[in-house]
Amino acid sequence: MTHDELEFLISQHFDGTLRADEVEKLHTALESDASAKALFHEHARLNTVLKSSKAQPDIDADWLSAEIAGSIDDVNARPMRISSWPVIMPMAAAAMLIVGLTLGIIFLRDGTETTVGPTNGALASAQISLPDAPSITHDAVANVSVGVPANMTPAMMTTLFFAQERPAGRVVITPAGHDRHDPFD
Amino acid sequence: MGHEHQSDSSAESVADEALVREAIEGDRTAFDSLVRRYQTPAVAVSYRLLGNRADAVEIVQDAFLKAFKGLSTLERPEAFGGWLMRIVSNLSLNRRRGRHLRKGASLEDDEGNPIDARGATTTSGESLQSGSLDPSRAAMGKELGAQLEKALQQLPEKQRLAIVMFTIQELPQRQVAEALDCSVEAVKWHVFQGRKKLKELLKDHL
Repeated sequence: MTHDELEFLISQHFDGTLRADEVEKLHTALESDASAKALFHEHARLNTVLKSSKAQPDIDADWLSAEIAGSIDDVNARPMRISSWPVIMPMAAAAMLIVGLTLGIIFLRDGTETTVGPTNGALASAQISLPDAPSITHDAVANVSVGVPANMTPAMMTTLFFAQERPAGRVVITPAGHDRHDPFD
Repeated sequence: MGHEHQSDSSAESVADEALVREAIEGDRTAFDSLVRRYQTPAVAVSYRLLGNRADAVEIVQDAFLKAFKGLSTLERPEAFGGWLMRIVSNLSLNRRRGRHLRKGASLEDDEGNPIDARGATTTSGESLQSGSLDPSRAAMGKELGAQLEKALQQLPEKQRLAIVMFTIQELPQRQVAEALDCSVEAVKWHVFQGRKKLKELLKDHL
């Protein structure tokens, strides 16, 4: 038997977990080997120290079980603690935001999906505001936008599903006889 | 030769299983019975790990609350005792780590405000080394008690828990195995390794 095997038997002996055949083995070793006996006594002293350190706190069992039952009752009675609100409120706000965004996306998508029939070209008009000058002698820039004609009546509007205003663009007006020159090229 | 550990009574295991099932079905008295059965060893283990009675009582209350909430997740209802002890030891070790982080204090320096037999807080602190709770511990030299505490803290966690639960507090071996999430044979091995290291660490005091 190795030293470790012997020590393992001694350890189990003090824990009361030795099998009958192991008890026999340990007895034989202790009777025949002085160093085994010395090792046994070292463990015996350690065992005394360990056993004497057993904690037995003086607690009133009735009081403690009532305390535990009370804390469980508290939890059962308050399924949602006030302290949970700081967590729940932001979650609720986030959920509302998600619902709002979803509705908004659906609404906007419906709008963009609306198809506009081909508009009558006659209804379109171009409005050009020329630079405020009596005559044009050099290149000038004019603002151009496309939109609903100014003379369109409300009755005519009923036939118009959608009128798209074009953003103002710029055109270059070149006087007669001048070479075409586009300063934006 | 050696002391007899509390036996792993199969009758008790069956009763545990039945009580857990009844508690899951909503029978509060069944859970109260489990509380009565395990509160004392639970407090003893926590107290042994923390060295303060008030902390130990608080930990055990938290542990039972956790157990109550998580009862339906317990895969083997017959292992309730070991499962509870695992919760108790985890909470106790976490509390101890937190305490050390906050105060940098050692166990023997720690004196909380323990409670009296009814649970009322007293003003005088009481630590494991005071020996005033357990006459047998008072017999053990204060110096040796302090040395044992230091030595226990130097053991790897499983060895320390095995020594505390099995050798010192004498909980049933199977329960300790459940608490440590290992086999019964592994508990023996952890105890053996722990004893060897403690013998070495305490050689000048034995």
